[in-house]
Amino acid sequence: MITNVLTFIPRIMMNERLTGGLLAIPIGSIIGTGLMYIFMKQFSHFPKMGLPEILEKYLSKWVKNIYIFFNGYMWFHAGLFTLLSFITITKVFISPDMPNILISGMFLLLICFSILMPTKKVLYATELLILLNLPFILLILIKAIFNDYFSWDTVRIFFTHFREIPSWSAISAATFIYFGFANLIIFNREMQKLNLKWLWLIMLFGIQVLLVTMVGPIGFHGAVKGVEGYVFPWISTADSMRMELGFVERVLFIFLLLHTNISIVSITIHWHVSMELFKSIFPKVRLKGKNVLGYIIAAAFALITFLFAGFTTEDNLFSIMKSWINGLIPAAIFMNFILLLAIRRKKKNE
Amino acid sequence: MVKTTFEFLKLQLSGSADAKIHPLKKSNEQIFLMYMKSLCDGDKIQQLVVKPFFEMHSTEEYSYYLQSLADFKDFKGNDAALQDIFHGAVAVILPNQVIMLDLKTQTNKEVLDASVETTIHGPQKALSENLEVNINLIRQRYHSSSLMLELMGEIGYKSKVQIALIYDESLIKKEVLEEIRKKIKNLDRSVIQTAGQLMRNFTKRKTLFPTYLVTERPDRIAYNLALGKFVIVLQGTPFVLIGPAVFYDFLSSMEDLYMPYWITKFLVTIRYIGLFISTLLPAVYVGVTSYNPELFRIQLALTIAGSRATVPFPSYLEVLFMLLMMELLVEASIRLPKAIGPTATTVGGLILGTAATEAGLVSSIMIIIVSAVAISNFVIPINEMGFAMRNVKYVLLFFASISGLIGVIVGLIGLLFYLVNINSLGEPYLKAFYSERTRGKQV
Repeated sequence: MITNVLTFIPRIMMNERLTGGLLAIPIGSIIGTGLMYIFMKQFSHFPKMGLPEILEKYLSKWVKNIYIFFNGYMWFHAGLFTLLSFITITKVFISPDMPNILISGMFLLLICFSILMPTKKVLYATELLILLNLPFILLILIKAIFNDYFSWDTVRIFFTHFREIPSWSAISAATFIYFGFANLIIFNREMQKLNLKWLWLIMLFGIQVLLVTMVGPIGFHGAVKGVEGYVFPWISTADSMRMELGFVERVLFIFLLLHTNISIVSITIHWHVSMELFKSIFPKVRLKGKNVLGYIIAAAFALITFLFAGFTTEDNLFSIMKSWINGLIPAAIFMNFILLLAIRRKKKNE
Repeated sequence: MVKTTFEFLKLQLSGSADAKIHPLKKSNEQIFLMYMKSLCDGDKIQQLVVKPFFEMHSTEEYSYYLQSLADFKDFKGNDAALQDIFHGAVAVILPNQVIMLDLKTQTNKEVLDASVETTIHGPQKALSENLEVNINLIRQRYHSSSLMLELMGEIGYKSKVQIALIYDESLIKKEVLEEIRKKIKNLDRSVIQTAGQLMRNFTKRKTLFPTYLVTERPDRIAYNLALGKFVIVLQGTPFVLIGPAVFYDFLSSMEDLYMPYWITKFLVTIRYIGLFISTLLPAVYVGVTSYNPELFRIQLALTIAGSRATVPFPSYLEVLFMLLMMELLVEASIRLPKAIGPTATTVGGLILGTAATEAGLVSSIMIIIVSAVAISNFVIPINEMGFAMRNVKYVLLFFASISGLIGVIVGLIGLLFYLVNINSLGEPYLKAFYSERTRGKQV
């Protein structure tokens, strides 16, 4: 959830900040939380089973293959967008004179190693990394809010546009924050019982995250003209903060460290889900008695990433991302239908 | 039947000079004693076997007497008897019976001081090199009736060292117990002497990080037994093997339990800081000076650049050179004879440090970094983990040399993922919130 703030969502919402961005936040939150609630309730009927197992048991085989392939493809793209924007950020801000292939190669090395871990270990690693990075997130947030140059006036200008109706892209972008629950289709294999008690807390947290995403850069750079020129609004915001007496003077580096960690976590989760989905539809390939299908899929992911990085520009990427996001909410509703079918079949069989 | 046993043993024992085949002759009967002189206790033989023979009237009574001794062992066949003799038993060949008595000399019984893991407030004595004494010491610290001892026979088909498995039956997980029993049975090496060797033979792949704990302190053993771990004790070494061990066990010292709460928290924090310094500092230095000098404040960056002005190499060579010198120094100081000890300190300090800086070969910042790294590496309480982290720092240095700070971050996160991926006998190696409370016990 926190990751998505740091990637491409802010840009979509920033573009619409004066034309409905503010209203998109509560609408998106409600839709997102609603989808999350329905989804988790449906999944609580199938303890310890991932989506491939559910589809195999209760629906026909070729429905399963097509749908899982489609899902794997969608998840792969989610991770790919994060990875590509992250490589761009690295090239622009951290090491401009390093060849693209080296940067992509280093990250792909790490990520291809991490998606091959068993599902339980991915969960442990995620938990650990997020815990370790939490103090830095809080630090940057607090520094941003209490900074001398943060002007609440511009924030008020932004809030005066609350009556505009948001576009579909803005609503989808706001909903995307809540879509972490969709990773449950694979991680349910490790969960015994899903606890629906704290859902309202997640909604509150999501609203806060979205607000911070929008309000932070606007407060620093200006609502109308200021934020327009920046490709990565939050990074420029972090760059304008300064710890005069600290060890590292520019907050940008702490922010980039944080961004790196969390992006890697997000990409790992998305690509792990995608890989598990693909693994469940392709037959096993045995080499020396070990199942190397995982390695082949990881290599394919890396190859596609290299191709994508070589052939698309920032602009193209942005429009592809936008259309991908627009299709998210319909895809989620479609999955709810399929799960409903599976639940009906299950109740019929019992 | 007794005759064939006698002939068999006589044949097998006839080679060594310290094998003794001793007849005891009375006026009407004769028995034989067969034993290895170097392994058996001559006094005990005299007291328990020879004297009563001449004081009792009939062989029947003598045989009953021998069977009621505390050291009596069952005669289980010729081969087993031969094994027992080589472990220090005495074979008493009576006219119609063979009786084995376990009368070995217990050597190395003295309890050693804790030399590897020292504490300020805790017990100062470690285990000894004798299996029986060790079991005695462990039982004295854990008087529970659920403490089970299994003698798993001998391992190493040439060295035939006794091995014992100790665990608390009410606390240990059944799968872990099954797993370790299977592993002990599947050992097939010729000579196994120490716990460390045992650990290497238990892990099939070539690993860097230790998954079993090697220790010599009885208080640590008792603490771990209460947590549901098993302990493997080996004859001839004061070090025992505790498993399964997770990452936090290697960064904990027994001192943590004996000091007040906040002091403990502070010490644990220091340990983790030491861990990060010793692994990250060389890599970050290379990353910052060669790739991203704008990371630090301008004054610090200028200082570093100024002290590097006279160095003719690129930064990674300088770091590698100094680290190598430091590693050689540390390795050599393990093996220095006592007379040469001070010389090595002088060599290390003066020559490598000061003179190298003055000659312009390394920068003074590098000296500080290398000494910080060397010292903070030994903050890690358990040796194996400290050595593993020494290796990790070179891997991180390699990544930093290729791609700067990106490489450092990738390396660090990669290390985290690798640690999470290891299993120690089914337990996850690195997991957040893995305290004693989540394991279901309050110790």
